[in-house]
Amino acid sequence: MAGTLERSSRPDGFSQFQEDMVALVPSLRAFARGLCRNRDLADDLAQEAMARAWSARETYIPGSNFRAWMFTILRNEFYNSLRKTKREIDLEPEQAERLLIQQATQENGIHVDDVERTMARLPAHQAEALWLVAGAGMSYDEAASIMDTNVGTVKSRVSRARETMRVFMGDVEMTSATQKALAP
Amino acid sequence: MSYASTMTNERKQRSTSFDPIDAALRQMFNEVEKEEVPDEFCDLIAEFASKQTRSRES
Repeated sequence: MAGTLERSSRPDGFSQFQEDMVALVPSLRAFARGLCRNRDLADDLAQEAMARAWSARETYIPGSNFRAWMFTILRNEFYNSLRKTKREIDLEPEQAERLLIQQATQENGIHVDDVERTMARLPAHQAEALWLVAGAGMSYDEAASIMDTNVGTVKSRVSRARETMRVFMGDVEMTSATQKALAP
Repeated sequence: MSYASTMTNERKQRSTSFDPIDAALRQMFNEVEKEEVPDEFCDLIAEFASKQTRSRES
């Protein structure tokens, strides 16, 4: 039955909510994967977020941005979980099961596995902002809403993340702004 | 604005709009989205539907 999530045809509010959630499962898994960098933890996180969303379904305003609403819940679950356990997210020892694609943008001298490795070295808020905007294709407004911050902060984080990525990947030299961004 | 300057601006925009790092991240995200959804997710959705049905009946 894997991959065969069925949508209900009932036209009531719950069915619509359920349909929207079913349709969003792949994106939730992808967003969670970027946060956790571990397949199993990410799937656990996505399911926890879905359960939380289902419990809070009465607070969702039909017709509003369901994707942003769900991403916000998932992100909150992620940070709540980190705060509770203070656990370190272990990277999987084997890269084989991960989301790497080997061809990617080789014509530009960039390899997807290099990008993924470099993402893991970014400060969390920068990586998160870049993953939302570049990975998930969210607008700056949506990302700001999800990250509970303002658009300017998101733009700044994305910009610093891109610069840091280029530095780590040997594309440009480190500027003082990058050094500051990476300072502990 | 002349045609030439328009084209130059468009070229500039195009040359700055493609970022190989962004493209790689988008590809990474898409690859996860394309993965087969594990059974646990189907079970969870079914559980929601079941709870909803029970709450309607009670």
